[in-house]
Amino acid sequence: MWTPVKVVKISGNSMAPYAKDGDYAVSTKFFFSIAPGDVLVFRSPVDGTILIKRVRNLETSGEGTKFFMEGDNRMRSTDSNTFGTIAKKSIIGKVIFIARQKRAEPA
Amino acid sequence: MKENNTLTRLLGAMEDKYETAYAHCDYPCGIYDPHLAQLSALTVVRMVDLMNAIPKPKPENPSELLDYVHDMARAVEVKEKHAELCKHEVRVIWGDFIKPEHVKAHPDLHEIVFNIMKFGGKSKQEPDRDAAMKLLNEVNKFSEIFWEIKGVKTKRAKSPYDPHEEVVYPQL
Repeated sequence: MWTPVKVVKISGNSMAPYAKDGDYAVSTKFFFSIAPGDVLVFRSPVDGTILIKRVRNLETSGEGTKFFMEGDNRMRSTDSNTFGTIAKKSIIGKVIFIARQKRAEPA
Repeated sequence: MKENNTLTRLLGAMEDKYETAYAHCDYPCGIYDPHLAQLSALTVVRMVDLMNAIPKPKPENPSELLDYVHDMARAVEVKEKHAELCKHEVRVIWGDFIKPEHVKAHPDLHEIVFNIMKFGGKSKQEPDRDAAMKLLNEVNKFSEIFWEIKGVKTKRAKSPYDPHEEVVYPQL
């Protein structure tokens, strides 16, 4: 079912500290532009898995604009450095809100 | 993007309806080299040769039988380990390094990887030198594509050690 807003549950910590394992990301298909720094929910060009990463830069060519995606926690991220840039059609939504899980404060 | 426990609780109540977005945890170190896959394939060939060369025990000599079983078990164990290592190394390069544009430039790449998985498996199932050589040959093809992507020329030469079979070497 198509909905303007898509909520996904995050698995993994490659976007920490922005979003951590178990948090919810609220994303929307309604966006006017995508710029470096935006966080996207998209399908992996390798196997179609849903991923969440941040746009590092845009690459425009004859095939249109492609997006180079990276995790914030780059030492823990499988991203465009390994699977290449993504096309706009792979984008599920632009993240507008992270609902964080309550976590115990470190002692 | 502040923490909002009320919203989180509301969203959490419908958790079953959400898909998972993976923020994968991996260590893309950027170090890729098919060398270990090649050495492993060569080792599989060598182990089959050694298995065929182990002296057959005389039935009346239990000590020879023990030596035979012992040496054979060791060769089989090394063959198993290296066939699996070969498959693992190729899977990592294929999964983590190879990108769609590489496949477009080398349309036979997926089939080569598929063949490596198949001949790697057959080399584990049987002491079959023909399967081991096919494994080595496919790994050589995979290595040539890998180095071409890297912009490095290669040459084929026989390994300067047993089993003296042809291997792809980068010309660095």
